[in-house]
Amino acid sequence: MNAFSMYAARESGLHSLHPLTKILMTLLLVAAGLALPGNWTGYFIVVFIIFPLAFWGRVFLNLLSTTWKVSLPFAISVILIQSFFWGEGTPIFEIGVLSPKWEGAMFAAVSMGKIILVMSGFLLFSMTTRPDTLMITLKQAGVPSSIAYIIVTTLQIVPSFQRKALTILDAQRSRGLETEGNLYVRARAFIPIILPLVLGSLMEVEERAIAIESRGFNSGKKETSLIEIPDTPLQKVIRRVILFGIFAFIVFGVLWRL
Amino acid sequence: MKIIINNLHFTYPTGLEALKGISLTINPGEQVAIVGQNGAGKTTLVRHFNGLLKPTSGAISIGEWETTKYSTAKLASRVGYVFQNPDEQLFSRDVLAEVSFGPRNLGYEKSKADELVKRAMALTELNDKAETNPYDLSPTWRKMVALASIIAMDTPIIIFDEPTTGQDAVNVARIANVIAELKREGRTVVTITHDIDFCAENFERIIALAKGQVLLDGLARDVLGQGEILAQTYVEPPQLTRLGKRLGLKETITKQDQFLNAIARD
Amino acid sequence: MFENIKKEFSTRTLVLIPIAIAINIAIGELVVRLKLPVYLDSIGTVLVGAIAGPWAGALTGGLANLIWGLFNPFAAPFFYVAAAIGLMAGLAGKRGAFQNETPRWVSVVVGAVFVFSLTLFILAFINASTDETGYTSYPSMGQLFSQYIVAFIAAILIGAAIGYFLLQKGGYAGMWGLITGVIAAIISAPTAAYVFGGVTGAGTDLLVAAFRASGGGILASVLAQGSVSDPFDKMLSFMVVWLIVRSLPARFTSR
Ligand SMILES: Nc1ncnc2c1ncn2[C@@H]1O[C@H](COP(=O)(O)OP(=O)(O)OP(=O)(O)O)[C@@H](O)[C@H]1O
Ligand SMILES: [Mg+2]
Repeated sequence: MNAFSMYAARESGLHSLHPLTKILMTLLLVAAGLALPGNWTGYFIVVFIIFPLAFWGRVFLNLLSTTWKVSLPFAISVILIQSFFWGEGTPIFEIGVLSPKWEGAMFAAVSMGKIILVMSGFLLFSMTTRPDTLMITLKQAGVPSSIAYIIVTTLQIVPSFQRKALTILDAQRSRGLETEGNLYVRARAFIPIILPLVLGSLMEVEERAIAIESRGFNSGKKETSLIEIPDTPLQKVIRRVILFGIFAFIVFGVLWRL
Repeated sequence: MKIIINNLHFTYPTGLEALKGISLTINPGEQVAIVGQNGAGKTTLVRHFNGLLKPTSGAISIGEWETTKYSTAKLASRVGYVFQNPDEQLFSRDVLAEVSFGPRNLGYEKSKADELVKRAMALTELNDKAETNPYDLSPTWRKMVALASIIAMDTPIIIFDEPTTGQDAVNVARIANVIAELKREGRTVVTITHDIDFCAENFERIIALAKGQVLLDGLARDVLGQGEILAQTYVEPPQLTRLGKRLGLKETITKQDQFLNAIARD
Repeated sequence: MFENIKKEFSTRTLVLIPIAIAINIAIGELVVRLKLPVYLDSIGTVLVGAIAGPWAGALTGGLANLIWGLFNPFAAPFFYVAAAIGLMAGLAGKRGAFQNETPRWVSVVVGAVFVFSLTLFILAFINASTDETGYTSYPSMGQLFSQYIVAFIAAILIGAAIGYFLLQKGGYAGMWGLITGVIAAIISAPTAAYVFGGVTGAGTDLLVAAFRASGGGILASVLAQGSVSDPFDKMLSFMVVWLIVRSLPARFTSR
């Protein structure tokens, strides 16, 4: 991941959908998967809705491998913990004290369905949405411009912070700071590395604030933008329906469990 | 302490080959300037001196230490490296603590460390700022704090990456003064610089890099005399040198006093 | 109240927040690189709380997790936990936790009381028994004390040592961090247990495993895991911010 973005540039119908439509769609799928009864709903939605969407967006393999990579540690962890430490249940096998239980393994499999759903849903959105359209989208969605500023600026500056942290690590190693070895040695290296990062960036706060004020950020005037995000009346209608759907799923999910 | 570089190649993980077979020897106590266009590989080369980068092939040794066998933190006792941006290393609440950080890491005895810190602070004219927070100083003084914090480590070799960039004339003179003192102490100084006038005034030997290879290497006046070759790596000889040439002086001029002598003679 | 909130969101605060979120992410990655057994990924959030106040801290925490969620969807559902951490940091800041030095004996008391309570909590948890009707009963304090007297004495000594050597003069900030960590553990446990099956894919899962092995339910084990690792993590985060605030140059603090 070079820039702080998962965007995969492609020409596809999914890519050209309005970002707001896509994020609402993602939220709808996640809400449905978590709210609807049935143990396997999550898997069902992933296979029959998210995967076809990924095909449409021409990011299927990309989505599959990234989801796999990020979910694997969770999968291993949840399966081991829930099956081996389940307590009472039907043993799968028994070797001495080791006795994983079917019930635990089932629970783990059910949990993984939800995890994979949340994971792949958001990854699909990230992969098919240009990060620089986010600011405009957020404003259109009625998000205050200050919040939009925070989100967009964060995405812009994170890569430079990651690089800076590595440079500082190098600079301090050049001054004889050990960063490898036992826990005590590594823990001692922490402060000399993070302080230049934090103090240096706090020094920038004032400059940035002055720059923003001189640009008239808080002037309240409507800004014009260069990027056009195509929207259609149909999508506007669809978004209303989706919004209603999300709301319905949440209410249903809560009531059903009470 | 001798630096020996033998057919050094380095390729970044991105696949870019930044160094394409560099062989150099730098003797103890030499004052070397490295010049060359942006992206020539200067920083990549000196980052090998203290093991921040390890060769893709070829070898570099500092004294009898091959850098692949030692961590950067260990090599720091032999090679001090002043990064270009001081804000990437300053973290202490006051200048004194900042300058003491390196010597402490290297494990000097307390009395020896105090002595080294005192000398470094005097050399960089920081004595009256010992209790100031480095971030309350101007950027030029922060640069001096960075210099002091490396000089205090008392390493036989010191590297400066573009020390004069963004500094005013007064501070450039201060830095030149520091380099002269390090020379008197017999330490090796390797400096990357784009400031060719600074380079001509203060260094005996110049290495010009171009596209990851050594283009020219020799005494300052020999290298600076080769205007056409230097042009390949977008380096222009100092104004004084060009003036001397235009005046038809026989020797290649690099320093002011040399220029005055030559004029007086002819 | 709205006046106060508005005052917190000056242009400077607005500029500070993205920087703080980037700091969270960069430090979070650095911790992994240094292989430290902690998260320390909310230092930026705590810093905003300390400098700009509780509402700004809460906003920073919430947005940080939502943005991080674009890359690691697991962070997103915990946005309210991160917001609570920022809020707590702000409250701590209002009470001077980050500006003042604490006498070392106070730090010793804070450390001792905390490790003592933690031990009590874990032992009660391990010794809980569930009968056939599903009713869980916990042992009485008296029972525990007589049975584990050595463990309790050790806990107090270890806690005192943590206070003296680790908290040092930052005892007050550390205490706020501990409290924040307990709150974070409690409010994050339901989400962790119901949405994610009780795991995070990180090293702390071993603790969940240990509590499951001792007979705890999923929610209880996650809660127990959180109450061990979160307070420690947040204590360290608050103390790092205490250190940062004390290292701030005069030209930053004078404004
Ligand atoms: N971390 C890196 N990853 C990939 N490529 C890099 C990296 N650092 C430098 N490079 C590339 O390696 C080449 C040499 O870079 P280097 O920084 O050594 O040049 P330089 O001579 O120091 O230039 P400058 O005068 O601009 O500092 C350049 O093409 C640069 O883009
Ligand atoms: Mg360079």
